[in-house]
Amino acid sequence: MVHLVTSDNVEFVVEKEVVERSVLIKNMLEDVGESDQSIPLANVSSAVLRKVIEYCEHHRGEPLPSGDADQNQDETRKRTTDISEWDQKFITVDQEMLFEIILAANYLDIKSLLDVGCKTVANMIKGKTPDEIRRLFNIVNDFTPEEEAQIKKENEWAEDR
Amino acid sequence: MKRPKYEVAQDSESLLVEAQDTKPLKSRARKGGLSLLPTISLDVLFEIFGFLKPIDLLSLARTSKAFRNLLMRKSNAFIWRASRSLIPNLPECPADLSEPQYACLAFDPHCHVGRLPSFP
Repeated sequence: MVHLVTSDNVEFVVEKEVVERSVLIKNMLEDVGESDQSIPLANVSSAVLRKVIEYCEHHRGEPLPSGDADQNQDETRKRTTDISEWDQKFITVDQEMLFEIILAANYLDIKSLLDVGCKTVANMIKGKTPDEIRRLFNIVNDFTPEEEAQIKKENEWAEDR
Repeated sequence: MKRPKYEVAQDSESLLVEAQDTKPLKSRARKGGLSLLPTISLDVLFEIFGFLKPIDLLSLARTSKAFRNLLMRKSNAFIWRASRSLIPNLPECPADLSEPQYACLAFDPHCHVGRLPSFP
């Protein structure tokens, strides 16, 4: 069993097989070996870790993507934004939790969960107008009306700074 | 295998830091759920872009200055190339067009490109 402590100081005791879906934790365990010492996760809250562990438990035993996955595999992975039924249900959370899960998956290096989160955000953006995207994510429109009319016509590269 | 740095999350730059480096930093709206997309780290943002079609990148580039600065930089052309690769059988970007111009011409029904490119 592996002991994890979240940013809000909650301890989780998780089976090694489950928690090792996180490449970060897998590598840490390989480096330090088995130990009763708990691993602090300063960037993950207990609410988010509970979700992440739920995901890892459901997907336990599935093959992990290999670290040196070739380009082709990466390409096919990206071509589809389909999400399995269970994952879809799992990721149906409010926007704040969705982004927290994405950040945690990125930090903990759980590629498949990061993909599910990013695909979900991408699917939210798809087919929307700039204004609909702004409303969806509370993005402030900082263009003047003149600039906004201009950028619809201009698609040249900006100067590299 | 490449090992991740343990402090990755603290190190990542946010889009706001990258795009508005002369202005005072807004606090990252982690709580309250406001404007989460622009505050997310660049590496995660690039992951999301990887699932978007060119027309969606164009829309995103018209939402705010931060997104525009990020997407209209020639050094970030790789984002557009990856997005293009999601569309089967799309010809390469003509040399006299920028990637966003090409995306606009190919996918935006309201596109105004000053002149038509010389397709062979």
